[in-house]
Amino acid sequence: MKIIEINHLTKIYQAGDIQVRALDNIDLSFEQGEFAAVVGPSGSGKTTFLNMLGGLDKPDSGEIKVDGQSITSLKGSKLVNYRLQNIGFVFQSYNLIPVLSALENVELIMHLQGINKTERRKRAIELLEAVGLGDRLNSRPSKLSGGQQQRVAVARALASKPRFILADEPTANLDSVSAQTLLEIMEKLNKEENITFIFSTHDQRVVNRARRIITMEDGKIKSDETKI
Amino acid sequence: MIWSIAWKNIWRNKLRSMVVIIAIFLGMTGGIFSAAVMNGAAEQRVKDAIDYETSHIRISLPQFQEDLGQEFYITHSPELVSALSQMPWCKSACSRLKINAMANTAHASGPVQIIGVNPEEDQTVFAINKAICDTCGSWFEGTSKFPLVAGDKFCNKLKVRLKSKVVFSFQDQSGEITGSAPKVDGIFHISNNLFNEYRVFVPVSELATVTQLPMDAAHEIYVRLKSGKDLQMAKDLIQKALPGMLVQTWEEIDPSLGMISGLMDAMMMVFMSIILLALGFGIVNTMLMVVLERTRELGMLKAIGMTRRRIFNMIMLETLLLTVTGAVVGIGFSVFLVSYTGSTGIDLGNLSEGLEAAGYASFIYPSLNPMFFVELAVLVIITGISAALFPARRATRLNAAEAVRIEG
Repeated sequence: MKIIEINHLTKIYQAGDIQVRALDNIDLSFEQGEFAAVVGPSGSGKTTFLNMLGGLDKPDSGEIKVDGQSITSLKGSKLVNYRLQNIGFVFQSYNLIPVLSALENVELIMHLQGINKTERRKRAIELLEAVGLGDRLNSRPSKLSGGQQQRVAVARALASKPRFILADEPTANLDSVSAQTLLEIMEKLNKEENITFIFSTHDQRVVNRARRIITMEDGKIKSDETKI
Repeated sequence: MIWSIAWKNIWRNKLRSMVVIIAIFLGMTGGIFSAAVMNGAAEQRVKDAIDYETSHIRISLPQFQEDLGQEFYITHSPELVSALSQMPWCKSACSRLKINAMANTAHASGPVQIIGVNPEEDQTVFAINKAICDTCGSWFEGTSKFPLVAGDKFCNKLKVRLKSKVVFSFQDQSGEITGSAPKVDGIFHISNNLFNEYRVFVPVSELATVTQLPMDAAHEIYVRLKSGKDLQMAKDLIQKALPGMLVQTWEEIDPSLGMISGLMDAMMMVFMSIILLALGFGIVNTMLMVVLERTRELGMLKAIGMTRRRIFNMIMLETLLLTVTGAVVGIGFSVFLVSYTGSTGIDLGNLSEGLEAAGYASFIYPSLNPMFFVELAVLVIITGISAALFPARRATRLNAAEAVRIEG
């Protein structure tokens, strides 16, 4: 079942007198449960592509549909609500709130969704246990390793029960063991819960595990391969 | 949860938050205490003026107040004083004669106003008798046949002491230059140097005799009320009963006294507003730093689905909590400080010359109307909200996509 459809997506940045086509007429779609990596050299457009999917940036032309609904025309609080209800974000620098514990960091997004305290606490604990941090519920980010922080970030991304998760270079700041653990957890969630993951990455370890590899260059899709 | 995050965020950088809180605390304490001292001084000035100089209400002939002409006196003053004393709102009343004279001693001379009083009656309205220290004689209780009670400034200027004779020369009722030579029976000191230098008191009977005024004459009749709240009502009643007389309240006798209260209120508010404005800019600066430091985090919150309104509210809340924390500590300590010094008083003895020249006491009891704290609390909240607006607005305008990629 297709959850994301991208048609003729184009984004042009003006750099002085020069126009840079960050995304050049992209056509793509994603199925429910994909574990896909968008790869390519710096400046190839993969971050811009993820920003468009995440509703953090607007295309100059083209359209993105999620479950058949166009998100490119959404504005203001509707767009914020779209992100809140449909997308889980995992950032390269974890971006946890330092004054909150791991549990509170995961709960925060459910608080924004208006879920009551009992329910959100129960789910936050379940998710942290699922990413192997059941014993670090009350630890603040500064007391966790980079890998553990990123696992909290994954739990936070899952907390809102999103349609898909966008992970921008999630392993870039992690050592190999932490990266391996994180990827195993995400892969497990993907397989067992059928959660869709879309990565932007340079990391070969991510590429090796991804079942679909979309290679971008100069804002265009250079290749789109699905492993069998 | 937003409250909890806001509160925790305040303590994220303890040193910076403590600096802001201490700045607010010091600003509040300094401002409130200064205001309390000014207010206490003003209240003391008004109280002293009523106790020593004006009482609550003064009755006289309108012409007398124009040039203090001796001939403009009230007749049958004892009956009038007695009638006024019967009024339910009246604590006491007294009559006085008042003439301008020249005082002379072997060492110096100078102008003076001689006030003829009935000592017993006068001390029920005024408190000059209480402004005479233990070693400074008495309020007409000595053995002198023609006693005089004068201010310490007057005595210093004319170089006289207790029992010294002072020669006064003045015009009598017929316009002839006459004189008298009373002996100093008591030396008073109040917190108004002009009064201490230019007012002297003698028995009314002696003054009436030397000026050839009738024994029942009075230039002025003073009324002391049981409660200052009855001032306007009492004035209106007296004026109605004595239509030809000039009836004045203490605020009308000395308009500057009437202005002190309002002026002090205005000054206190201006003073506090300046302090709060300075604090406000400090808070804006601090919160802008907070927003800049947390750009990536705020961008993340925006990305994951926190609305601009929620981000705005969160920064507003943080600023308000920071401001209110400092203000609560500052106001709380100020209440204690004002209460404590209000009971012990503050001795500004080394400034007494300047203060008393302006009519202010050098021993001040700081005091503040409780409403001032309410007004101040409202001003603090307004300051907090105003100071929060710019940083909060800035926070909502962050571009989430750019913010999350900023290196922390």
